[in-house]
Amino acid sequence: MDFFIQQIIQGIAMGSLYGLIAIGYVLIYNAWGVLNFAQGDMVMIGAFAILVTHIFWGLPIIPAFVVAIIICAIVGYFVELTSFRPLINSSNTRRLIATIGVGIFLRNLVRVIFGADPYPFPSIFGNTPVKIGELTIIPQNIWNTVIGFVLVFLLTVFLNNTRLGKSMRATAQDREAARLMGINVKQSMSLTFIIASVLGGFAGMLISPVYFVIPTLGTSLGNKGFSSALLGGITSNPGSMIGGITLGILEATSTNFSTSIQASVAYIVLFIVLIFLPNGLLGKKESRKV
Amino acid sequence: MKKSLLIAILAVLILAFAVSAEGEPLLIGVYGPLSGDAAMVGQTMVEGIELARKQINEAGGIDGRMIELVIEDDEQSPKVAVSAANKLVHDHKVIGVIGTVNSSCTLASMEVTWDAEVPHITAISSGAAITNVGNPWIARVQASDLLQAGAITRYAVEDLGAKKIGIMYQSDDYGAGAMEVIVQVLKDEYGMEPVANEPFEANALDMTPQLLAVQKSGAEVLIMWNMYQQGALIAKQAREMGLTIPLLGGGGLTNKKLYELAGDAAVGIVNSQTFFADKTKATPSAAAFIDAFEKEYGRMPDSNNAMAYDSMMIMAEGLKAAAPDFKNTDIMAGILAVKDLPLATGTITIAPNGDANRDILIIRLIEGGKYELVK
Repeated sequence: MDFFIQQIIQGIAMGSLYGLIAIGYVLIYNAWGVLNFAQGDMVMIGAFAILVTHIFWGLPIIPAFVVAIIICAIVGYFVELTSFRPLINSSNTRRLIATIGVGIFLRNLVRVIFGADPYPFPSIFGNTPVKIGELTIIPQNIWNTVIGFVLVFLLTVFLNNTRLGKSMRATAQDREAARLMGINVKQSMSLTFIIASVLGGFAGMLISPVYFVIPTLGTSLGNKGFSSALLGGITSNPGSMIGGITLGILEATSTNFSTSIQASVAYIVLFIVLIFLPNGLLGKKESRKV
Repeated sequence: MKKSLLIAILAVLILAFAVSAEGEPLLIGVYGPLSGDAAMVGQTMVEGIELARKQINEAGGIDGRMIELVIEDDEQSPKVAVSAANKLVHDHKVIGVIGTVNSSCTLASMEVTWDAEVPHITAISSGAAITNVGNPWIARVQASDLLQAGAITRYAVEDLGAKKIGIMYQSDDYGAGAMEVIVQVLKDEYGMEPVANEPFEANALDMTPQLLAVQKSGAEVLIMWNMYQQGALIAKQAREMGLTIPLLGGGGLTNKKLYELAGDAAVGIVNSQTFFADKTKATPSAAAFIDAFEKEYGRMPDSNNAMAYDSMMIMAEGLKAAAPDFKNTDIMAGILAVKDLPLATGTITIAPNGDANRDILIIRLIEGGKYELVK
């Protein structure tokens, strides 16, 4: 039983990071109508940003986080400005392929600058496990979960209660109508990409002490975020958090049957959702297709 | 008619004697990555071979004939390796070949020596396939991963006294091949079964599910078969979740990056190796090699230097056995007949498939990222 609880805790911790990545997919899908397959690579950008600010520049951890977030925002904005904005009226296929291209570009750019070898990153929250009864809890896991939820909460407040957030939602619902209502659509779109990039990047920053910082970091994490987003219903922010945590728990507990299926859980979920649950857990029925 | 045939045979015999009496050098071909990313390893290999050649020639050569090396670059590309091997075999007509480093390069280019029936020794390639595709013309000095896995398993049971052994391995040829050996050795030699046997993807980043399973199984040691990157992840994540059992593994873990990535979590990791430059604990033959190498190059040799040196020495055994005609079949038979030969990387016996059987060393990572010899 303790072992099972241990697995659940592990699953929730990983799952909240998947959720953060998934929200990035959802925000951009809502605003732009296609999935952004460079989202996983924004996770990697986040990890390298914190590596540069905290390790290379030697900033203390809090300022390092702030500067790294700014770096992610700039990269997100730059990507939107150069690659996605010019394609705003292109067909879905062309935009989808553009996102794949941006991902490949970012991955290889980082590889050229930093090399293909992994970099170690020290633990932010201490790596002494806390014992509660028979349970061993790694502080990093608790913090990742807490920070994940706080970010989702802040995002929801922002989207529902601020003018900028509301205009983002309006733009996502109907770009033309929003423009007619006097909403700065370009600004809203940029903001969406920046927030999605920062959320993905944040997941990367939180995960770098657990893993290593490596240019291919985003590939598998991106796929997991994507599965989580679909599981949650690709249009719902809280849904993607729930999807992420469900996936995290499924992954962690799947090892009770066999550790070799762990790597494929995300893809199994993807198939099941696409076939039996096309609207995900919390997604709205809609006629629009990817 | 009969007379002319007799004269012809005589003429051939005289010619043959004349050639060998002249003491023409024995040509040995060497190829390795001398440019590109792996240039350092290629250079290391040539150093070891060069030292062995020098010693052999100073001691009077083989049957009075000196050994001469013909060296080619394979750029660590299987394609270039094939043409390098072709050049050595067909242009330079070498009687033996030593090379190369990368297993794929060796696999591709050994077809050339196989077809031409030229004895071939690979010093550094460890890929299991090299010696199990039935090529009768190849021998290998590097310990195949199979030997290393057996050695580390015996160390876990006999020296650490472990009764419960957990295994983690990357699910590819490298990891799964070794895992099968570990399971076999446990079963055949100790009547044991691993308490946990957990595969992971070679590019996996999250090892905690596997580590949790190992922790739950109550394993007393964990044998992992993977390269240093995954080794660092496993060490780090195991220590973070409070799993403090000894971590053991194969030669792929020996890399300074292991300590850089995992820090103190990597201290204490034990792994197998073929050579360790520590004169105080070395066998007499290894100590003699370390001395000679230090004198020649002014620094300590590494395991690749040592394996390359041994390759040349084993080639020399083949040549000795084949003197004075140096027929290819005799050379190869001589190489395969090597038994209990004390060399730099241990006391070597060549198995019928060409693999060098020997004692495997066990080394441990200590504070500051250095290694110490365990046994």
